[in-house]
Amino acid sequence: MPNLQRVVVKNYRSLEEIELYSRGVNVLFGPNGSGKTTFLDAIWFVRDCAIRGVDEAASQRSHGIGVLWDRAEQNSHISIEIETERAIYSIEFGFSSGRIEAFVGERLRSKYNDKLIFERIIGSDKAKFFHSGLSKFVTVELREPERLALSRYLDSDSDLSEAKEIHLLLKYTRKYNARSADIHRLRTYGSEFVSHQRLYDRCQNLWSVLRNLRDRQDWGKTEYETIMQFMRKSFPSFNRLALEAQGTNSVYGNFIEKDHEEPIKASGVSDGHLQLLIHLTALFSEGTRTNLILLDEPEVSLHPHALAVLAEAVEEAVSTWNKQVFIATHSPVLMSQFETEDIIASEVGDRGQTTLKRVSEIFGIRDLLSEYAVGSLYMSELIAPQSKLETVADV
Amino acid sequence: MSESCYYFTFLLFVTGKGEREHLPKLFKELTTSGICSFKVVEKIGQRRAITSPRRIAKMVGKGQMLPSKDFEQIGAPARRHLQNAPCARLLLIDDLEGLDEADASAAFQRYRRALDEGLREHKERAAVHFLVRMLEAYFFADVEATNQALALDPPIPSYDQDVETTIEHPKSELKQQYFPQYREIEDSGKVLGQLSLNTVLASPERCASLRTCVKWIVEQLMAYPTPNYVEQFSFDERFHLQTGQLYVVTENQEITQHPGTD
Ligand SMILES: Nc1ncnc2c1ncn2[C@@H]1O[C@H](COP(=O)(O)OP(=O)(O)O)[C@@H](O)[C@H]1O
Ligand SMILES: [Mg+2]
Repeated sequence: MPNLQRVVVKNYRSLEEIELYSRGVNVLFGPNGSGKTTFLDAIWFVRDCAIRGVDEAASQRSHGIGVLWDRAEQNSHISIEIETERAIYSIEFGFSSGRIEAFVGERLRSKYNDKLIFERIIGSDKAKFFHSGLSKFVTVELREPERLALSRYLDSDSDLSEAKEIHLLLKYTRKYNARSADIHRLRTYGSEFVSHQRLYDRCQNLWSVLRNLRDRQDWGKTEYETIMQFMRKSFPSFNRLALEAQGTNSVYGNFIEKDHEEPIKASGVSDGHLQLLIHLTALFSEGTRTNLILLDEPEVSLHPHALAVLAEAVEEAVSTWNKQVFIATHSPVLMSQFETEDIIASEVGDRGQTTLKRVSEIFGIRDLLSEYAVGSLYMSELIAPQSKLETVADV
Repeated sequence: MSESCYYFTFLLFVTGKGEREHLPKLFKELTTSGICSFKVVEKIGQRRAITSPRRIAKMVGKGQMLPSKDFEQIGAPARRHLQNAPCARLLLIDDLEGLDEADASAAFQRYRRALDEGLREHKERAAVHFLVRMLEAYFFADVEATNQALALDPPIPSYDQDVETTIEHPKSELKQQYFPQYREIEDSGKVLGQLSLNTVLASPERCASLRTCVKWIVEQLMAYPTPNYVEQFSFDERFHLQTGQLYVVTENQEITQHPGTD
């Protein structure tokens, strides 16, 4: 059972109204500007609000300027709802003079008894918490109203299971955009020392995370070996990594290749090697912890065989390492590596709105899907066409 | 195919660049039935017999089949046009310039396979037909229309043989003998505007290929919920569809079965 079960987004950029039931693997593909990144960002937006606060989350998104669906009616809100096994949490963003209001609307419902657990309306610095001991709602003053009531609720002593489930989902969500990985820093300076196993969004602590996995006594060995195995599978000349300390607080990566005597410094290996290493570290470094991992265009710099290996790694991470993965891609090769049930075509509707459709549910192409690589049908414009049908001449 | 259709759109796939823009006009007599129209929707590169053995490419990783160029350029667009348009029909029309019957048959097979691979269960809604040897051949089968449309002086005298089989190169013939300034797109449009299938197909022994094409179209129209509506236009009689010569290469294409009309 995937951790995140459903996402509903309204009025967020091109996501006029989107509902997606998610699975273990979710591969979003479609033409440029069809809203894939925006969809991942909608989930990430909620995560940012929960972990970093609404102000910070909004300022990362131009304070919300230009973010509301451009055909939304006056005084519309952005809303994002996420559903887990036990809970449905939704957050509503209102606007005050064009900017996102830091006091957001929120609602948490239990799926067990379909009861409201807490609620807060946009602009309010108070929330109504259901107090299980008293069996009624109590109004609570929020000490830091620009933070989510969800966080505040976790501090209260009520029955927490639903809130906690949402909180953990968000806390353990990771997002990596292959284009914004700080490859330059990894090549030139190495990684600052960290003591944990979590790869940062921009991947600048890659070497340090890998060294922790390799060297720690209590955890990390299987994770490290899994990463190395997939690297070898993808790049037959790859043998292993040599991770060396630089001074007391940084770590640098070197590649030991089969046909080379000397280690190759990270500054000299191909982007593809580094990029795949990053993806694999993202998938496995946190072991069997339940993570929701969002990968935006992971195909960058990877050759087709490496993409096939990446897909295999994703499948394994999902089937045996408790990961749930969303991938946004336009690589026909990458998407062809996944089951059609896991592939979601994003398209642009006639008013510029994003539509999402599971490929396995696209009417009328199942016969072709059973034989042809799904990516090739995409290239033949049988799925998510970039161009529309037109007539050349008629009578 | 159990869809009932009150209106049929014949989508034309033509070969070559601009020159077949006016081809829909060739079928204007069929549109007098009021239940169909013709439009060119794709221009595709001309295909001839496959000379090298077919190689099926595979996707890296999972190894699913990768489509051939023919699939991408013919089968896939055919599918795009037909899959959500149950009352659309597809006509792929090519010239047979310079081909003997064996070559023609090989070209036919190739087009047919490209369509079948893309269309699958929709394949019966598509057919491949040939202009033999080229569109301009038919200008000689209705000289009155051609003379008038191009204001030919002196006019082309009436031609009493099968224009599909007895004129080696009708376009050169037209240019050399009658109309040196012939401009393919514009002038073919003028002629097609006047050319009558009644005249072109008047003789049952002649124009077998075009007749085979028209026959297929009329058979499609018979899927109209009340086929006797179509019968009143007497297409069979006017064009000798049941009794006239047909072209062996293209006559056996699966025909849409429709209830109540055998
Ligand atoms: N406020 C808005 N209202 C409607 N559409 C928007 C708004 N802001 C951005 N967009 C559109 O949303 C799309 C977002 O595309 P993006 O998610 O980056 O696509 P992808 O990742 O699929 O290439 C773009 O086409 C952009 O024009
Ligand atoms: Mg994007």
